[in-house]
Amino acid sequence: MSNNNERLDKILDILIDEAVESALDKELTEYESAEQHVFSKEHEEKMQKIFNKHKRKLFFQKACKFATRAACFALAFLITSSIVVFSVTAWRIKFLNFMLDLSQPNSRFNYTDNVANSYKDENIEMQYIPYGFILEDKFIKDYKMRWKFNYGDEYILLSCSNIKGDFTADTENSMTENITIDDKEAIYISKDRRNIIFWNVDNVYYMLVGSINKDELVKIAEGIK
Amino acid sequence: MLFMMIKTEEDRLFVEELYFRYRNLLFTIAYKRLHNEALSEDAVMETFIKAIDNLHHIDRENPTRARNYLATICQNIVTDMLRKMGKNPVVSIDDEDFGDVTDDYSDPQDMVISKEAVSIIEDAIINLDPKYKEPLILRRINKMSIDEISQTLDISKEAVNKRILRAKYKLKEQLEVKEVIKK
Repeated sequence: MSNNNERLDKILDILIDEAVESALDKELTEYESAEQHVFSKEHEEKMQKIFNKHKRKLFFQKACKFATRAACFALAFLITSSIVVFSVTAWRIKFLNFMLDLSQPNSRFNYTDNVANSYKDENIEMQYIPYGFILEDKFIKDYKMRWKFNYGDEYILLSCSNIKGDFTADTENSMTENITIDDKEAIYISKDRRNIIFWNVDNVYYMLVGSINKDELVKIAEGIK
Repeated sequence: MLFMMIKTEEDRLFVEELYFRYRNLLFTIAYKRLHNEALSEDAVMETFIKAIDNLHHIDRENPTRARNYLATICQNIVTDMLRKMGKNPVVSIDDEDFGDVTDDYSDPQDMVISKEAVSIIEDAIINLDPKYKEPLILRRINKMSIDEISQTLDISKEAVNKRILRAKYKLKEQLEVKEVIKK
């Protein structure tokens, strides 16, 4: 009997599988032939809201995906570039120098006249000193005088002395240029990050050294009385 | 949780297409039992919200199966709405005596898989209480597991098993009535 029941159960399953889809089809076909219902405005709005919400969500997902991809590309490019730059000595040095130059405070200075400093004592008057520089050291002995101004890592050094005869300056690997300071002949020397102006007035020799640019040095020199 | 299962633009377009294609059918199914337009429209909306959460169960290659699935979900939502309105008294499934589908029968050779038998079962399925019809359809047509049916219909796994068994019992009863099988 139990065997019969099992077989009957199997046959019943087959019959159900045969009939279930067609039964539902039959039932739904009846419903499908019903007249078209005009959905209320409220319902349409609710459904539209659901679809729009999803549209926005998909757009946001797409944007996130794109941003992630772009970030990955940027990162890959950065890593590849770094490897290439650092593997070639010449490029590495150039790059590091460039980065170090960027870190110099020069670019932070405001050299406009209205915020510039000045300096005056019994020996000298400097009508123009770039903003931020302050006197750090002063040396006066016999005919030699020296003033040093600092601003962070930047410096300006002014030396004055009486010179009889010639003097020699080491200009190896440097750029030299003949300029004038208040109509007096002067020499401008630039080497690495060190710029120098030599000139003399009435047998007084002036040497202005600084890590700042040429224009600023000339401006300082022209302001010395 | 809304649109949790919609992951691509293709999914979204598929859902929109389903909506415009079957909303009238679903409305008719709901209206037949609810007799209220606003509630029937709500049932259509709820059907789509539920269908979207279970998008992976919808057969994209077979529109008839997709339609059948949506219709089953809609029936279930309507049943639920009626139950909440108190119009469909709840019978605890656990307390019901389902009898035994496999009562002792004479030789099953007596039962022939004929067109007549299939037709009797078809009519019996159409007239089945939605409570029993829904899990049976999800199991047989959509090939869903008991666990998935339990989640879709929001009933326990035990209740799903019992309802399917009960559906089978009721179908077998019809075969007995028509004397296709004999005890």
